[in-house]
Amino acid sequence: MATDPEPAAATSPEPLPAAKRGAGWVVARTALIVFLVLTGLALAGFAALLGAGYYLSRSASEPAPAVMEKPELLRAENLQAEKKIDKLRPKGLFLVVDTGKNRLTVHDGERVVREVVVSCGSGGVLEDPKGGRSWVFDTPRGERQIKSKVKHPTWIRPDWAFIEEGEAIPKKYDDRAEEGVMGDYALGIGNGFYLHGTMYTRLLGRNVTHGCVRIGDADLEYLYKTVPLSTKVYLF
Amino acid sequence: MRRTVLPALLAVILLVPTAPARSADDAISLWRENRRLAAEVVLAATPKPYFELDLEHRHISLKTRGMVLFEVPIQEQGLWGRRLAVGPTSVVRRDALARPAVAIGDEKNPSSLDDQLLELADMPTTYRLGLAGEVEVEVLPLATGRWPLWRQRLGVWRWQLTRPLVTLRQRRERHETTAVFLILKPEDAQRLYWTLFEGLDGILIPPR
Repeated sequence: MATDPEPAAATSPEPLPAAKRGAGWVVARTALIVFLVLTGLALAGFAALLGAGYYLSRSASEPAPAVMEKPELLRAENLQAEKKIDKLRPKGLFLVVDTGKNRLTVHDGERVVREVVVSCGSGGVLEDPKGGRSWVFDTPRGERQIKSKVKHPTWIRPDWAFIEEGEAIPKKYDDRAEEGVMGDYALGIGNGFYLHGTMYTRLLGRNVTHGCVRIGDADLEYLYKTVPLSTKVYLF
Repeated sequence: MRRTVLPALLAVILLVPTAPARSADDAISLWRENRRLAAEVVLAATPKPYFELDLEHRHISLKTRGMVLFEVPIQEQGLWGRRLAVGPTSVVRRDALARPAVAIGDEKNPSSLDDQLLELADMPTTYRLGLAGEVEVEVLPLATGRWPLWRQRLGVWRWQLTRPLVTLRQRRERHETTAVFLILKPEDAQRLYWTLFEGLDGILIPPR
């Protein structure tokens, strides 16, 4: 015959306090939890109603009732604006330069006809130790156009090129001329910035220039022969 | 009889209230598009690039003359504070804990270039953008891996819980702002930092 453990458990004094507390304790504890949850919810709701919640506040862009009643007017206005923007959109042949990714793309309307790896500005800063002048070597951003096309260009070294090398700035103009460093062709985009060739082709794809856009020989020749003067260049 | 009448009645009850609501929705969409286009007509007329922070369709694009130069998707976003309207804005401030800086590189010695060039990979992935109209945008990179992702999610929850208190304080001080957080892929966050320089104009499209 098996022994029954139940009588021993029944005689244990431990469950007695809980039994003493009884149903009242359970009710009180539940009530406290419910109270805390409700208070939390009420506070959150109160905060939201005060305008803290973005989605609960009134839309600032809600149209006035008069506009709501005339959707055809809005439609006509929108169509007109879309036409205006479409007229501004680049058409024909144009260039886009991504200075971050060091990529130049040749576009013909909406079609990309060629993608070229280039080198853009390094973002470096050079200060003239003798004077208060300083240069930031960034490629300019925005819209420009091909203003000049030069075969066998000569680089006229600006002051910074001498300061960077620790050389004295020459007084004669002829002492600034340097042949061959810009490659076979150069396409000017204004303010002394060019799309030109490079001797350092292994650095194409990296930001190493003083602001100009360096291009490999074959791609540069293609651009020189394909892109006419006044072609728009969008740099970003 | 009852079998055919009841579904028909139910359909009428369900459809009737949605018809005016839909037309109001259309009107609001038209109005928002109207505001966006009005802002874009002005910006596209200039030779400068401009950005479009579209929190309704969750993407950010850089444009020029109405043409999209690039577009990045927003992985996650949150907004608190003063309600925003569709319209023009601009970048007034760009803060990062570590602002990238660069020395002059020596291109004749390419091995020395890595720490001397300022390139896309050097751009921060966590930064703040102050937009005109008291809009504070916090950009965070999308975490990868289980634990970093959970930590990020906890951070977002903490932001959602604590931000109302900030908004309430601002309301009491009569200086209300709108806080936006954007989680982007790290490379998209860097690309955006590269592109959105101080003074750049743009269009803000808040969620509906």
